[in-house]
Amino acid sequence: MSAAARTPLKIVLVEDSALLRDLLSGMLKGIAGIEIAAVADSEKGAIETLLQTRPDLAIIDLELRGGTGLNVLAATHQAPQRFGELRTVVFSNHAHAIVQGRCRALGALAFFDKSFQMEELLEWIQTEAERKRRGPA
Amino acid sequence: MPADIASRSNSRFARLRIRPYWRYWHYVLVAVGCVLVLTLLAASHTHSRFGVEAVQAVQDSKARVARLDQVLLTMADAETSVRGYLLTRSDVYLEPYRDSEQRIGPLLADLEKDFAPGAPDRDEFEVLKELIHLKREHMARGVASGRLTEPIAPGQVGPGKAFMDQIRLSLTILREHRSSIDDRLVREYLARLDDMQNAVTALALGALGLIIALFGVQQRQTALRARIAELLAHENTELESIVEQRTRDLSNLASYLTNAREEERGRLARELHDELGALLTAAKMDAGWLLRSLGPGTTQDIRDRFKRLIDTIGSGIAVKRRIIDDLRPPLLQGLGLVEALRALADDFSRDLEVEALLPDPDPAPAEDQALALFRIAQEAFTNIRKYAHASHVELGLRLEDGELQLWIRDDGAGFDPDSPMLNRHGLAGMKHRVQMFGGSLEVISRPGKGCCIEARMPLQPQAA
Repeated sequence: MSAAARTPLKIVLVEDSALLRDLLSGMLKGIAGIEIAAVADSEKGAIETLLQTRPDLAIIDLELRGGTGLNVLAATHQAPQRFGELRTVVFSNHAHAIVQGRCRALGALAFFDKSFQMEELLEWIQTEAERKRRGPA
Repeated sequence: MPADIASRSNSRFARLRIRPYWRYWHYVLVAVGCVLVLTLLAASHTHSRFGVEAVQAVQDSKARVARLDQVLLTMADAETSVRGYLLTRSDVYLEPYRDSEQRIGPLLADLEKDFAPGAPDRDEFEVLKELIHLKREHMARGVASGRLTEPIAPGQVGPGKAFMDQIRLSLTILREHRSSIDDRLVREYLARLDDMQNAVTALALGALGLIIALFGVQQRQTALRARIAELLAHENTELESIVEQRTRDLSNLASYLTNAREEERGRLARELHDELGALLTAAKMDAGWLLRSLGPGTTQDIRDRFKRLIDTIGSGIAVKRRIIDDLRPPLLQGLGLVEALRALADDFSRDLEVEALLPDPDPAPAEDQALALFRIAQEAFTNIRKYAHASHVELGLRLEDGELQLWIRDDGAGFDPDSPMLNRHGLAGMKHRVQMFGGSLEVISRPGKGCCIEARMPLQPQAA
């Protein structure tokens, strides 16, 4: 195995609830090949953290302490080169179809309902981690 | 109007209250004035009649005196004529005598009227008449005989002269008597004229006084009216300013209540989301983890219980979500007004047909303005769901000349927009939200004809 193949999937968690942040981090740590690079709980903090840590994946909640996840998505969508190879998924309680549509329009790869699609999110991330481990196709 | 204002204005007007008899005072003045002027008219009429009568009396008096003079002149003419004839025996000299003989008859007839029987100088007049008769007879005898009838003793006067002297005396008496009577009459007339003059002057002065009094009353009433008008105007201004102040206070209170309600709802939604939401989600995640981690020896019963636990927590989360969405527009801030309205229409379209006419791009009003418009639409939809029994709803937003227009039109049951019951349906709240942004709300509806609610307000763009 090459060095690149062992590189873990770098994740930034954008979530305003400390309880859920901890819980989600705990569950993600159970998946092999994943590194939680940083967490953020506000719109401004999230954008700064993403610019600094340059992760592979951002898991973004829409409702934040200050601002909204939609604006974080918009920022990454407007100037993608500043954020590197960033991929985004949304993990939120606001599962309205219109909200989901908006998220996808702003470059989110997937939308997971926080209350009902936990399993799907974990599976999706596992697939991503495996894809990263195998290296670019 | 509050009680204090009412009593204050009452006490102010109490001073102006007119006593009842004062109200008829100027009518009395006018009536008295009319009577005065009519009396004045009658008096001046009488006055001028007295004047005419006085002039007439003076003329009559002069004519009577002239008639007496005429008698003397005629008799003197006749005597001279007879004397001339007797001296010359020429018939020419008799001419005046004959003439006077003709004139004396009518003259005496006229005098007969002046000294009618019963008049004070009737006796003297009878004497005069007798003397004239005697003198005429004496002259007639002289003319007939052609000489003086009786010889006259020296140092004595003849009967002709005696008659003439007596006539003169009698005439003088009558004349003076007559003159004194006439003078008295004229004086009487003048005195009456004078009285009349005084009466007219008094009446005129009275009328003048009345005119001045009426003018005074008029002035007083004008002043009173001006004072009342001034007081009313003052009272009006005061009331208007009070109403303005109250309206401002009420509007401020309503704004405060609206904002406080929004803040409270936001706080509740945040707490539900942050605290309860996180707890429920964490519980559900843990339950899921536990279910996945159950060993192979676990009975189906326990697995079923776990699944039911997860479902129950899921139902709790769904309830919480509905409450939060209701408390606070989901992601109005992030989605923008147009998308939030679209989501609202979308939710609503599960119940009936909704047509959304929304602009692209989003006019992007400021957050609180977007919230106000969203709340109006939300309230309107709630009303439609509760009362309208509509089959089709149109939700529209448009930006025109810097003015945002939001309308919600349905084809439902409609109502009477003037009914006071409507405030219960949140129309007052809608109106107030619109007014907070300097806009206007129009509600067009009739029973059975559906309803259209249109809110207009100047766009307040988002702060950069």
